[in-house]
Amino acid sequence: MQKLCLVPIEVFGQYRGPKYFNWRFPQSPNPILGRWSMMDYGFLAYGLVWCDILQEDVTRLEGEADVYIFPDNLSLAVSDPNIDTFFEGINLPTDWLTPSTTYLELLRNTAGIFQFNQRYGAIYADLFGVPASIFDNATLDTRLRQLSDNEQAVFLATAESFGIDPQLINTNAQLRLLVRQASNIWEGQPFYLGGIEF
Amino acid sequence: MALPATDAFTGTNGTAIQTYSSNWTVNTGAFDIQSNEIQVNSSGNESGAHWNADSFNADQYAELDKTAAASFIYIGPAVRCHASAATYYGLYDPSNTGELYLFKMVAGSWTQLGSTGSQGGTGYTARLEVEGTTLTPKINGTTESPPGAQTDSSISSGSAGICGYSDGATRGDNWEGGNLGGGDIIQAIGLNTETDTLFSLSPAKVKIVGLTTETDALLSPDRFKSRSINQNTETDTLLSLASEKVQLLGFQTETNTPLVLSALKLKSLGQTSETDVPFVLITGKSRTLSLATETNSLFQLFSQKVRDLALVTEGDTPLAITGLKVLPIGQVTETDSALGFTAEKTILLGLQTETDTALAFVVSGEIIQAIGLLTETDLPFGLTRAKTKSIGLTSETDTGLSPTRSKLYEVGLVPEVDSIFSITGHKVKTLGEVTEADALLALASSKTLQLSLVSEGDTLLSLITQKALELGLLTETDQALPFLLPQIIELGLITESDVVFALSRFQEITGPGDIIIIPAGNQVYVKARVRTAIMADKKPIIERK
Repeated sequence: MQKLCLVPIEVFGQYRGPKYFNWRFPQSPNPILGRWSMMDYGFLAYGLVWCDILQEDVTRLEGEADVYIFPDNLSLAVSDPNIDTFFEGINLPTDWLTPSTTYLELLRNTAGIFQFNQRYGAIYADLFGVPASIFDNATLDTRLRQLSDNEQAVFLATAESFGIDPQLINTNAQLRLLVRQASNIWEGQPFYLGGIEF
Repeated sequence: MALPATDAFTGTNGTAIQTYSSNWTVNTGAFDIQSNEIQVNSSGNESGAHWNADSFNADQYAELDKTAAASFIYIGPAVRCHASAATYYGLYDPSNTGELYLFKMVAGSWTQLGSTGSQGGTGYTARLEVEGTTLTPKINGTTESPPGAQTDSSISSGSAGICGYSDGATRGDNWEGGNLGGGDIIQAIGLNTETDTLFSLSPAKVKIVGLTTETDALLSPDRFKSRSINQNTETDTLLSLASEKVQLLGFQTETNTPLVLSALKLKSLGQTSETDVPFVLITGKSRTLSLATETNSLFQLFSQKVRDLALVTEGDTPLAITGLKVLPIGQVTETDSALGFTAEKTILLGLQTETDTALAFVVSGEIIQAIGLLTETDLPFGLTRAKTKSIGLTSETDTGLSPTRSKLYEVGLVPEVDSIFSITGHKVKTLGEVTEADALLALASSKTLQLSLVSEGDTLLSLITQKALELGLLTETDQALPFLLPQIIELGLITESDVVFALSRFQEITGPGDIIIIPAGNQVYVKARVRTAIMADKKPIIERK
């Protein structure tokens, strides 16, 4: 059965892949077999995974505290009482959620933030030779101006690479607001994961 | 080199890829030539290389035939390869597991984006496309799903190339890399084929709809070449900035020599040729459609010449500054001599000749002739005199009038001989009345004559006497009345045969407001109200019949 879930990314040397799944260098015992695709949160160790797996593997994932499984019906309003704890814990802001926000909106917002951090990591690596994440030295409540000069520069360069005028970015704003707004870049544009559009 | 770029890797075994061809740059690891194919050659390491001989668009693809496989040795296409760093998207399979890995390398960090169990071994073509933020892996031209299309924003640009892992007898061949989409060719509607090679930014090539071929060599930024619709060939050589060449629709050839900035040459539609010699800036020349030849010699700044349609020749001599000459359509000749400043002459359509002599300033003679009038001889007259003749009148001989007199003529009235009358004498005659002999009237005497009255003999009236004759009453002979006994006759009463009054059947008139009865003849009475006090010794003026 097909599922969308947030899973940790495990690392083996220079290699990264989804925890619990059978990837190139699986570290989990008895990795889950089956087809999957992953959209990573840049160099932050979480990924959004689409998978086609057995029910027993779904049950297994449901039992993992570090995995969040989206409901099959994404058009439902978000009603998970643990959503704030889980998402905020992996630097995904939820303060924007309203009673009418659907899981699809949450999913697209998550994917948008992932894309922004992906670009951030690549630009940072290009400039400084090593991968990086926005949240390496920050939390959602950190203000942009509190990042290092290099991090701020990369953040603004990332925004500009997506067509955002960096001069319009308030450096006094918290990262939770900025990454959420950055996800709006994909408003009206499709995401693809495992060949599926959402 | 033109895209798509291809390489069959025909070379000496063991030759490093960058040695085999300088078109390749190694990002990480190593590749070499084996059996005229490309083989990964870095034990236990990732390898990546890109084609450096062309510039790729961000939307690009790379493909590679998988020709030989060994366990845990990978090789495949790569896109958006960094110029030097270990950064790129790749697609390869480990050959032994039957999986296909879609991954990204960012600064040496390898992240698996998906896998499938559907492919492995050899004899297939792996292709990886990237468009915007969408990666699409394909096997033998078909999207492989999963991993399927995948959104990833890490790498935004780079070159097509190859990727692999470790070393050994896993090889690829017939690499190809190119751009997705049609490039930067802009074809206007209606054009046929245009082969557009890569051109630099500044040369612009524009083909207008309807034109056939245009060979466009490199153009310097300040050169412009314009061809209008339906024109034939124009050879456009280097033009100086100030030289402009304009060809209008339908004209044929024009030989255009460099023109000085102030020389303008205009050719209107339908004309054949015009030889245009340089003329000074202040000379303006306008030629209207269908006119024939005109010899235009130099004329002065304020000399203006206007020729209207269908006029024939005009001998135009220099005119003084104030001499304005206007000839409307249809007139023949006019000889115009020098005119004084204030003399204006206007001849309306259809009139014939008028001889206009010089008029002095103080005359301010204004002649206005309406259509259909004949000749009028106008003599000098005083400043305040105006003369107006309406349509249809024949003639009028107008002698000197005093300043305050005015005379109005209405259409349809017959002549009236108007003799001198005093200043306060106003005479109003309404249409349909007959003649009235109007004698001198006293100052306060006003007379109102209503329509349909017959005649009235009106003699002198005293100052306070007012007479009102209402419609329908017959004649009244009005004589002088006592000073204090005015009467007002109220309108609308009809006959009364038996009149009984107070005061022993006589009416005592005592003062204003009293009602009295006045006989109107033949047992007809009217009722009246006294407005002014009546003298006490006056007898009743009415007694019962």
